[in-house]
Amino acid sequence: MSSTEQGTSSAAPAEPTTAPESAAAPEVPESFYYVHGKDKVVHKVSAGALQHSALIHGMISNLGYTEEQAKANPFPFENIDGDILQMVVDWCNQHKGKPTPPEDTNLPKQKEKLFDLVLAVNYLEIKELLTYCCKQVAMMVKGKSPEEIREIWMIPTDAEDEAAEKEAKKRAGKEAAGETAAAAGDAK
Amino acid sequence: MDESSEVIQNNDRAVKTVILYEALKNTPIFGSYRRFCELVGHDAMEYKDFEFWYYRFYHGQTDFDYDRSTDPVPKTIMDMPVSLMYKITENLDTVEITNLRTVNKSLKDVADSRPLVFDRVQITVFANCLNWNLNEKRFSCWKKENGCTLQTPTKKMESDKSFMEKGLEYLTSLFKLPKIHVHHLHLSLHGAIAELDNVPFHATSVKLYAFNVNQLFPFLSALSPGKLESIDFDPCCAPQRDQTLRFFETEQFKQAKHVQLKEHLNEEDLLRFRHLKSFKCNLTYLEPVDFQRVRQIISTFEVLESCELKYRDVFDTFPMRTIAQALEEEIPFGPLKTINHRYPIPESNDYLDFTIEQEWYYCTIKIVKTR
Repeated sequence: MSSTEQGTSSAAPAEPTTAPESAAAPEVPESFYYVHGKDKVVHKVSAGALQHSALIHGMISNLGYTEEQAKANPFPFENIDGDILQMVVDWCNQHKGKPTPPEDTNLPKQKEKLFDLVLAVNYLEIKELLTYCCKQVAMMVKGKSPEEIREIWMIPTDAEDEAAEKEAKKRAGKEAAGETAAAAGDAK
Repeated sequence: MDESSEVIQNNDRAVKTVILYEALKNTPIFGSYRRFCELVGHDAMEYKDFEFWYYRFYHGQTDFDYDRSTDPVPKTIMDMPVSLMYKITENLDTVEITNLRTVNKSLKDVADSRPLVFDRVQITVFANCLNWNLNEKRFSCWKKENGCTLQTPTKKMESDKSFMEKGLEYLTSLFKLPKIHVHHLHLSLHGAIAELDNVPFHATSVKLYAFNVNQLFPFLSALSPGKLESIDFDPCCAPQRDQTLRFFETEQFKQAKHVQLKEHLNEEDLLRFRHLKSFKCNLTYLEPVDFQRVRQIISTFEVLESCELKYRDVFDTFPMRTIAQALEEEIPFGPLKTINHRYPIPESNDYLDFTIEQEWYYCTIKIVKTR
């Protein structure tokens, strides 16, 4: 009997010690948001990972979505290809809550993918990833001659630029003339 | 084109097999493309197409018959907004930025939008060769039987122009860049050189060396006075008196802050250094030097921080004692290596601290103003 009481009495003061634990422990459930690119494939991403993107972070802060609202209204990024958005989401997840390393070697080497990624990251305002991507683009032409730079970055010469501009003007002129003729026909 | 190249080039599968082989080797792509061109022919495939197939194969997609006609038009660097082009080019060094200028007008505008700063430009002229280093990158143009060979960090090319014409063509276009600035320019003339079209040029400091002093004046006058803070005028032989006076008359000298000369000057010449923060020069050995007058002149220089005078006496191989006696400094007993002398500047709280050291056959007098 006495031992039970003792046990009870000894159990009682233990309460305050467990109380702070339970006060620190309740983890706020992580909130998730949803994004999709041109391919309409929806990606579920935590708010922590999305903090890398100043654009999305700003949208989240301003909208004050509940989880249900967020699920029902994924952020649409119609100007970003699905595979590029996947890369961005993967990068944000990998670097969630971590300090970013001085360089990233896992970026796509293929120029077209890299250029798409640069534009997407610039749009989404992911500062660190943009720095890595720009460095990777620059590294393509490091130590190369002007001719090689032109080849690697697919840069037209001034003459090619001028020819393309003339061609575009000519086409625009033809189209405008066609529209005027069509409008005149309609008027009759 | 040799026969094997022609066979490969006319067979699409053979071309792609070569690319697949390169992709499997996992070597840097541009080197792979160069090897491909050597083997198959330089007009066999554009780099952008090679790159497409290379990375497809690299990622294990080895279907040679893939139809690209429905693929979207790939983006190029020219689709990047200008702000991104600035960010990309931040990762290139100054020489690479100057390379961008010749690629096309848009990139030239990007390259020209910010200052091109070189830490060090060194130009060396020999009788049959012109070398120049831009920071750590070396360029060379040397004489050949009919023309010259230009070697840059990225390529080597032959030209039918003379080595001087070809080299100066490069340098003149470089120096004409609107926002170029060089921290230190080092010009060494061991042979004749044409002038650089009097291109005004911004450098913070310069070292000029030549066999013939007169060769140096056009280059000195091309440097923007005021921006040029430090001049090391170092001809092979000490200049004649008229050449020295010509140097003193240049705007570059009058607006400099630090000057180093080889000339042997008398006490009164030192008055011309009144505007300098520091200078180094030789004192004349052709006539006696009044060291008290030297001290008195230097003590009136308001902006001076330090200077160094070299002195030798043809009749006295150990002139330290003479200088110390002239300055009324006590000469310690025993072997002498250094004598220190402190002079309170009249009507001021400042001092001139002299350190007189015996070198080989001459003395160095280092003077520092102490506040």
